[in-house]
Amino acid sequence: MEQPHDYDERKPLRVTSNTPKLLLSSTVTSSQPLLVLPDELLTEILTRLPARLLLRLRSVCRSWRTLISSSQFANYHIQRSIAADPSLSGPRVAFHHSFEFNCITFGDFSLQSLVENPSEPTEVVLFEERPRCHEINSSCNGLLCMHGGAHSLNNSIMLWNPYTGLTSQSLKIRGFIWNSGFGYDHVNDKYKLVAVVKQMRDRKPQTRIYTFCGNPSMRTIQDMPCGVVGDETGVFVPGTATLNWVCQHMEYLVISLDLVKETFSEFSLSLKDPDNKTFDFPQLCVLRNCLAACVSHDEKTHWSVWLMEEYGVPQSWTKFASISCHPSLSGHHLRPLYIWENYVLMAAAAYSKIVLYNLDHDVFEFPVLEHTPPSNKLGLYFCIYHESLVSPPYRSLPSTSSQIQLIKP
Amino acid sequence: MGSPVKKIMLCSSEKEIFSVEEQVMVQHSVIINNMIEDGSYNHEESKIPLDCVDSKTLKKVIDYCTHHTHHHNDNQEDLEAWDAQFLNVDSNGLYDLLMAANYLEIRNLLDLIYGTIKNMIKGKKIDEIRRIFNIKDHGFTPEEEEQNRKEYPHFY
Repeated sequence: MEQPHDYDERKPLRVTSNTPKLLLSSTVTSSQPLLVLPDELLTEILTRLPARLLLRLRSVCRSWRTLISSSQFANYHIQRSIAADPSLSGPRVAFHHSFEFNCITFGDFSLQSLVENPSEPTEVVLFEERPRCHEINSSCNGLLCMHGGAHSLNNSIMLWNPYTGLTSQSLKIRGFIWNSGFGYDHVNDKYKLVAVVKQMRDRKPQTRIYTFCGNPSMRTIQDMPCGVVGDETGVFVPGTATLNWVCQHMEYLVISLDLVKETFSEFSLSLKDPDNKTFDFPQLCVLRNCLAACVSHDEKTHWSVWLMEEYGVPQSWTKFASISCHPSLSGHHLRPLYIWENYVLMAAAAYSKIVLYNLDHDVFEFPVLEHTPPSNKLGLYFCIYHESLVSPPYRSLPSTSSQIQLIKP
Repeated sequence: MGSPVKKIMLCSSEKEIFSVEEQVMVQHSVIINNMIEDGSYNHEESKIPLDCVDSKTLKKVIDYCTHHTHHHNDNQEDLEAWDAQFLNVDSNGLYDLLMAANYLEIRNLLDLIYGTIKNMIKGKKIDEIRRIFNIKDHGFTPEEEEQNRKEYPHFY
């Protein structure tokens, strides 16, 4: 079951008792079936439609355009999609391929076409960028956090909604990013990137938060606890306003950053597994809106996937699946990305290929993607994102005012 | 069990009185549940005035709540078939039901109606959507309308 977050607690919106009748009597003629709805009710209806259709519905009339273009509507729509119906924001996978510090390819594809027809090459849409310099860092609510010039001191980050084409301003990092994470602080309605940044010379790395808003800011916070292992990009868990990394001391721990308070805490990654005494190489991810971990057993001969059903409560780690290794994946990390309709687990193996694991039948499939290098090449990075109407703060049209052009054809 | 079924009185906009099992309405309507819980309803004297719900609509709403109270254990298919039959009304009827369900805060009925109206939009061309929602003046300048048309030619 999908765990709803916050959405269920919304009070239904109510109109005053006399509004409906006024509308009714003034607009309804006897024969013609008609509906004129207050915005609150129209919002309830339209947020049940996929983002793909909503863009078009902006042409119905000016008041619909205003409603659908508002940030409240976009937020409500993406929250509904995350909590209740992912198909509203048709999950897609963005990827880039870097080679020798250059991002060579950069594009996305639909998860649905990948899962439904894995034997055919999946159609990939390549993003155009002139000049090409951005890589994907991570995503949240349909916004991709893009890292520009990652290997130069003059690097920067910006947010991009590939679906609407809107970008934020770019923020200068002023240093090199060691590890980072991107997420949404729903209390303050702000998108934040946290990064451990190493400056030139031998200065100690600083942990900083870059906040995207009308007046973007950067501030240094307490140091991220050292010892972060595995995937260096923090995992954002919807509804919790937290970013999470794995860290190894005596045992494996989860380091959690509260994006509201901007403070770190930790809890144990204690997986009580009668079948496996030990585990290694934990990879954090989000599955069904829960923090999840994929761990490897016995020299990577099999993996198990765990969900933390109640965020922050170590007793709630529950084993979700056991996966036997496929010969071609032996010795690889497995980073789960998504569970499609309860039976297909999509994962990235060793950062180089996408695999589909059928949970009902215990079989792997190895889909082929157009325009991507052979799967034995390293340097491919995958990231799930949603088609959403959420606008990056400080919006500007990509083709006019932003100095970087990002275009999804 | 054995004690007489508690009833409450609902009064439509035409001042027609409907006597309904309390439990049926309490289970479905947030507003009526709150009235009963906070003691503002007196079983001897009170009638709940629903000034913006006409008799025809109120009867439908009561039908819905009664059916879903007594048949909630039916299989999903039967319930869905009943719901589909229940919502086989014209747009005015649907609109009145939506307003009543919204006023009384009947969440499962609201979800049902939202879903139905949502499906009325899917797959429709722009003119049909404007007709369904009685949008006579779209409010765009001719240039904007031309631009929209260029952007989504198949929608027109």
